[in-house]
Amino acid sequence: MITQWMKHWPGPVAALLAAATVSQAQPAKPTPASPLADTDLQAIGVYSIATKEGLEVREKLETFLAASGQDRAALGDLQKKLLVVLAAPDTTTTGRDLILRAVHRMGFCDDVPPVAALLTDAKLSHMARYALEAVPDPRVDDALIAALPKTDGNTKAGIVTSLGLRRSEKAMTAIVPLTDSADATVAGAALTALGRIGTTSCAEALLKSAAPALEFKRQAALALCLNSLQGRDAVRVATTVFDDTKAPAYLRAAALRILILNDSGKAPAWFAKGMSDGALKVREAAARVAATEAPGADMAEAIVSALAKAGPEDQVRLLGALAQRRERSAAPAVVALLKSPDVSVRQAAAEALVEVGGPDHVAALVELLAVNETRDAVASTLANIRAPGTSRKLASVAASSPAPQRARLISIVGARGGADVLPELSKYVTDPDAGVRREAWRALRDMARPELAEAYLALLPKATETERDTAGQAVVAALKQVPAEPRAVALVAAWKGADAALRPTLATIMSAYPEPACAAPLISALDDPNPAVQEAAVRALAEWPDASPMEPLMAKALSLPTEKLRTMALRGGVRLMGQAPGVDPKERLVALFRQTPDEAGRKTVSNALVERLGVDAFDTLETLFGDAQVGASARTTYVALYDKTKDMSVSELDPDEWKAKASHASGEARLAFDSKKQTRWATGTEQQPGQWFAVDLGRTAALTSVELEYEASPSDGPTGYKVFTSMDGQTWAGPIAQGPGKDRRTLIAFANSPIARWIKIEQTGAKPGLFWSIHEMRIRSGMDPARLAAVAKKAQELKAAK
Amino acid sequence: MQNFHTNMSHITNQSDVAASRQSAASSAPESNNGGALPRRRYEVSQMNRRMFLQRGGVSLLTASAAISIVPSRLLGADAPSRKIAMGMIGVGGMGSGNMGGFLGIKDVVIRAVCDPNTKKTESAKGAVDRHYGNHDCATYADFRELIARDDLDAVMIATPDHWHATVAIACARAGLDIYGEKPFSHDLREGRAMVNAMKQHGRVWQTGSWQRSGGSFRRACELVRNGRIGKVQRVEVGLPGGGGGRGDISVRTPPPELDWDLWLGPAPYREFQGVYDWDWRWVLDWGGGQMMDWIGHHGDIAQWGLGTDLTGPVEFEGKGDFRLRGIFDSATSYKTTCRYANGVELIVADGGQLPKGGGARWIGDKGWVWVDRGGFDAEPKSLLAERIGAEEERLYNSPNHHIDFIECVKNRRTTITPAEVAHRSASVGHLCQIAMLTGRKIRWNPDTEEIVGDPAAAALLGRAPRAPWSLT
Repeated sequence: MITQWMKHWPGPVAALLAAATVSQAQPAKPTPASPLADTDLQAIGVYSIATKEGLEVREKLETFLAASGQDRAALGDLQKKLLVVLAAPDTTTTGRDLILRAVHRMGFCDDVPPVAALLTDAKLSHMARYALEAVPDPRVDDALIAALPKTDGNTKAGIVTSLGLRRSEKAMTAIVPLTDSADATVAGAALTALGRIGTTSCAEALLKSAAPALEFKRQAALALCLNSLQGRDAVRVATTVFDDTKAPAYLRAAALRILILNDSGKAPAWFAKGMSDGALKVREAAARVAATEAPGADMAEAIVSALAKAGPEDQVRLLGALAQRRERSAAPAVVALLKSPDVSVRQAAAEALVEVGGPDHVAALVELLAVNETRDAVASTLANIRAPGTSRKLASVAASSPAPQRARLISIVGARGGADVLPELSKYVTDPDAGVRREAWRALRDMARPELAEAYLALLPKATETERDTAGQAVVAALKQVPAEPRAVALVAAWKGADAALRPTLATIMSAYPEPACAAPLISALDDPNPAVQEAAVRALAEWPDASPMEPLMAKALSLPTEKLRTMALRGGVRLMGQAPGVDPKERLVALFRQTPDEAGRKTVSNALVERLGVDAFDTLETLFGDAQVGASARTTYVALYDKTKDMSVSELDPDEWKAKASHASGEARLAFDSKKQTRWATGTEQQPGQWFAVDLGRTAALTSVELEYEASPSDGPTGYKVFTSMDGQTWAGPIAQGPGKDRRTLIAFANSPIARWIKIEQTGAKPGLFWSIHEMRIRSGMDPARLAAVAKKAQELKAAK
Repeated sequence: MQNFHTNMSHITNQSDVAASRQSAASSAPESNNGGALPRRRYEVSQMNRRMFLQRGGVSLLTASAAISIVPSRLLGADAPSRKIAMGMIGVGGMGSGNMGGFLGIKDVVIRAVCDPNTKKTESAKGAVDRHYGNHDCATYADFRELIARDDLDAVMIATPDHWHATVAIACARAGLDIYGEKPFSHDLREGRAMVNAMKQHGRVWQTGSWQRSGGSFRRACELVRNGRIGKVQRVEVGLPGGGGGRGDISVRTPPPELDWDLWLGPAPYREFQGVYDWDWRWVLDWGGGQMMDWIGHHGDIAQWGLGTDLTGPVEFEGKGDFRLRGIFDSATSYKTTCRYANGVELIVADGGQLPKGGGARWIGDKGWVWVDRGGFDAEPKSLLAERIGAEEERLYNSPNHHIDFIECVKNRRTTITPAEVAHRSASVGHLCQIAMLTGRKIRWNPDTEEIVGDPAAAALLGRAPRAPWSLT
């Protein structure tokens, strides 16, 4: 029945696609182009950002450039006019700057000389290069070269840099002599430019030593140059560099890369030579190039061959290279290293098998699961190994493994997450070993999908008591994406077929999906002779999202067999009253207080009364003082309540008295109130509805507010919250407050100072990718001083009268 | 309910919370796996780190882009300690945030901070010294002095965009590994030079595109990669629009703590005009506006999901509103359409122009997946519960962007956002920008990285650096 709806699931996609197409928004504002007038050109000549005219003319210029992008003639015409302004003697530096930027934007320069004239101007040389550098016009090279003798210092160095970036071969003759310049900036720029131009002649020039202070520049330029060389020239120069043992290792490493990539047919030999080099950087480079840039079977063989000869550190490198290449053919060599005496190598081999291994290697890896040093690495390898068929192989190997290992292997199968192993996994839910059964259910839970829900419900009766909770979680997970109606039908059907042992689990599942159809079987279970079924039904109904089970729950509450159940039912009923239209909880509770036949029942009701009404409960109790039947009980309750909450002036409660637990990371809950803003409690997983954090205040208090602070994780506030209170930490009243979370901190104030010892905050929304965190929590208690004084006076009177 | 909630915590995917950890890496309690099986590569990675520290061993990351090389400095005889010594270059908003992240990693020691603004270096030094309880953190205005130290393994670069390439290439040449902020580069030509430098010098590079280390982003990409939405037809990338500054352009004197010429560095010279902190981003000489600021996030994620993060689209066409706001000249609204060689369309726009607003949405012939910070949606809804099995394509799983970098520095692995990948993501933005500025359809060859048939547009791929700065 569940699978039927799946067929219709993707229906809205086409409509959404159409909607997305239609809703493509309007393009950005069109910018009408208007030609620049002579006055505009004059304004450009004296352009300044500090003037209104300057801004206006720049805006006009930019608009024209953007709008005329496809009109080469219009741009050419504008450029011509701008270059006239550029050359005009009274044009300001900022005006010229603006014009040169415009030329850069245009990406062409029809008339080079006016721009080139500024190359020798120390202030504007850079902007002239800015305009010209990328223009693919040989006249630009000529202009740059011509400017060299007329400049010095940074200006000359900048021109040399531009020639380098243009890879201007014709500039070489002018640049080579500059490598000996007395000006280190110019000489350095010249060396770098030769590296960028990258011809064989440049390389030859760079092979000659430079001044000691510039040697690092020469070497860096040579390394750069090597990358540009092709074919035999590249091999010849690179061989010279690689064979120079005095050259720095990084340069020899760069040469080795060129040799591996360019020396046709000799790549494996160069790689082997690199791997046997004494310099670490060279060996690193060899492994890196082999891993990423040198494909082919011969290189794979060379890596495997080197693997056998290498020391442990290099073996780790080479295993990494094989993994990155996903070199399946190397799997036998990698498997062999699983028995290396070096733990790092064993570990690296195990991890490399993720990429190069497959089902055939599962058995060898499983053997290593028993070895402490490699256990984690092997487990993660088995969990992540990519090759198809691995999950099935693991499941079958598990069958012949001893119980603890079988359980581990089943957990690994679960972590792998492939639904195709469901038939194999299902067998393990009846395994003789409890640990295996539990892991099988966990695995099923981990791979839960809606289409598996029916199968899971069918497997549920096979769960023994020890793994029934886990089995229930698996069913809950599988049902999550199933629509409400078929889900409820499936659950009710399962309930009807379930025995007493299974029904508590089903009741808990139903409480996770409280569909209307599920209420009836749970209400009937209130009369079930099995206490566990009864308790599960009460627990589920007490937290029902609507008021439908209120009346049966309240009716049954005081006749339930244990106080725990009575309290749970009563509090649930009180909670549901808040959602029932036309029901006054105060009236109902007072009536219950009167009807209850014994003190225990009245205590239960009065607890519910204070949880529901907060400090208003004092007034309500006072109205019962004169009642012949329950007056004494009301007075006793009043005094007891006052004694519990003596310190009711508004104050911050002392967190030293608190204990806390939480749905997630319960052991870290204390970090939420350790007075250190930098520490926190966090769910450790993304926000999902139902996560909770509960605090035992150490004493009963009238609560006025709770503040959740998470400034150090400002996005980690609750998406939404509901607050519940309790006197015993078992049964909860509320929500007494609910709302959306806020950035950085959320302050939740309570209108009527509910009295409680426990307070629970439930997170109600989803926030993918983000934890729910509490860095600091503050709880304030107290009540209005005037009311407090009146209550205190009355309590003292009652005590005195007693 | 209570029992289930109590017991179900351990089945959740730890890696889905990485984004959250960005904000509290230093104080977040580490999850206790209780000896249970590592369920995701994230935990494998954690385990490796611990094992490395305890045993001095090395290990591989079992991800597709991983390579393991024995750490040179750490295992060498000259290794001063097993901590990674770092310098921080650029300690403004993002820089100080990154610095906080690195301070929280016990395997890191920060030895120096650098910024041309002495107020910032003093503030950063104070934070570092307070953290370590000493006065050892050195301060520099000029990054060249910082990288001349011989006791650093790595640097964090969070300068304004126009400095990224110059600083990064110098650091690579100095043998330093680099955590660099996005956008990867200020122009496309710089980006290629940076990638080449990292490759040439064998450096580890991590880009500040931390969304990759957020579980929900990875999960969305895995759904797309594994065909859950069928054949992808279009991707919508929604980024912020706007981008105005607070600068007072009437202020013409740099504050005394700021070395203005050094701050400008390779950018065109201009007189101080009141803008430097933060709002530099809206000035095209220094930044690339909202689009370039965010293309390294959602644009990067879009490419990751498509599996095109080592290449890119072949056509770009779009319009942007570049109206001036005083000194600010970046686009405040924009919409570009890019097309990959296989016909897939990529829309990059300010979120106001897209149905889902911000984030990345892949639309296929069987459904769609959308992801944003704090948002995840899909159609059909059943995709929300889909699991990706071990025998399907799983993507690199990083628990925490800073920690991933440090682990890779130690083990000489490729990070989750290496230079080439970051360059390709930034290239999408650069080419969108050029298409908008020229008003023309740009045809791009991602193999040769050349604009086809439009030399004038191609001229905008780079900008001449102001001397004496250069890209090498």
